[in-house]
Amino acid sequence: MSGFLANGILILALIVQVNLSASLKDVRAYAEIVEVAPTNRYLAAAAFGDNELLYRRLVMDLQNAGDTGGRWSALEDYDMRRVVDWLNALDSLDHRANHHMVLAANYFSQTQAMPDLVHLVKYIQSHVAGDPERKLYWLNQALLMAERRLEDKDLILDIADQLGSYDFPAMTPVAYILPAKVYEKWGDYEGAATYMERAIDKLGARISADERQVLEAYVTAMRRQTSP
Amino acid sequence: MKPTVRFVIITALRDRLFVSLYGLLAITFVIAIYLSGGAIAETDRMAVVYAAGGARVMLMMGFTVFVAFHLERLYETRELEALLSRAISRETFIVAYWIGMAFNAALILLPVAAVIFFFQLSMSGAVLWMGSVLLESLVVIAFAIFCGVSLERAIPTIFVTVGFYALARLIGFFVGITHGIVKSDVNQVADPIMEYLSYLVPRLDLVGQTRWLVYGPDSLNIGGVIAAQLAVYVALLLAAAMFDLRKKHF
Repeated sequence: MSGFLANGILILALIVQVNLSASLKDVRAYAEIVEVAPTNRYLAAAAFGDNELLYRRLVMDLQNAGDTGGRWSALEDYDMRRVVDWLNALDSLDHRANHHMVLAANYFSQTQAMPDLVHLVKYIQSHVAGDPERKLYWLNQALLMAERRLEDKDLILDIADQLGSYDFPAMTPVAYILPAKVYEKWGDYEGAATYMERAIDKLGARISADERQVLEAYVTAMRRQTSP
Repeated sequence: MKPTVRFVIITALRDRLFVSLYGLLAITFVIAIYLSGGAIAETDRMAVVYAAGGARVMLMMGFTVFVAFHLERLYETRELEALLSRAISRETFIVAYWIGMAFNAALILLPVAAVIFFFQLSMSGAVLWMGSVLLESLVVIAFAIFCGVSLERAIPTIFVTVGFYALARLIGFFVGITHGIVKSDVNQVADPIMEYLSYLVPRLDLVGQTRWLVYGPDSLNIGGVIAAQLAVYVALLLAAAMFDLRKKHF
């Protein structure tokens, strides 16, 4: 092959390549907003024995999902069931971390699609149930989401029941009393009285005599509301 | 033995092992801090985990590549023959070479320690992580020495050592599969192979856990067993390298 022909092929190939690239310039590889969550087996293999490192990498993937490659996605367009699958996958890598909980409670919870919030609230409930002593704070966030945005009475009372089932030294008096206040707010005075009685019992010596008197007066007031 | 140990350290300096790895580690740390800046929560944890996890991989790859090319050059330039012509046995040479590289590894781990301690997440976890990564380095170095001595060529040494390292980091996962409930036809063949293989591969997946840096050491009481296994494995690899070197005709 002569040098002239080789040079000709070089120039021609370069011109064709540039033109083909120009025609593909605006074409983007198809990417879903939230990909299907990884399986447990995939996680075990991809971690190479270091779950924490994989957690930190994947939680950033979830944080940036839908907002990569020059695109931005509205939260209502996210498949929140898949988001919850991702959150569960991240739980399996590091349940103690809070990064994915911040995403669930403070970021994805801002979705415009209200029905999606139920998935997030239920996820947070199950996450807290896995380690209530460390994760109780997030149940309060779930309660806020359910009360202020969803206004779903059954769900709210379910969260209050979950909170009312816990008893450990790090729990604050407010955490013991909160279920009663929630029940009162939603018109279930008998439930409020029952939970306040439990709070008085569990708090024991952690409250003063005056505080106990106030709480007992609350129980009396609730019982008075329920009696005909 | 001392001159050979010094020889390994001086040639590591000559071949710019320290400069190269310190540079790579610095880039790793900068990237870790940069990436963690995008996190909306737990930024410091993200930074320390990325930095430590990235540094671990860089160190293992760095030691592997260095040992592979260093040993290849020793063979090619006949430096190895010159070394062995002195009053040093082949067995002593292997041990001295490993000690020299162990010293290099400890020196190179120092800036990693500095960065991790800077974040001050868990002191006890950081100490455990550093110790376990040093042990991991010593196993990888011993394996690279064994391959380098046996194969005499850098590229296959690197490939085999990287393959071994990946296998050792995944062996817990493979063993997990063999105990899985769902079995396919492939499992009937692969499971026994993996089962037997697991007896020959150290459990590197249990060391160098970045979660120790964040939450402190686990309460598991298997640290001693793992350290003992890695120490025995280093001895095994060095003995295998001695066996191979004894068979070489110069």
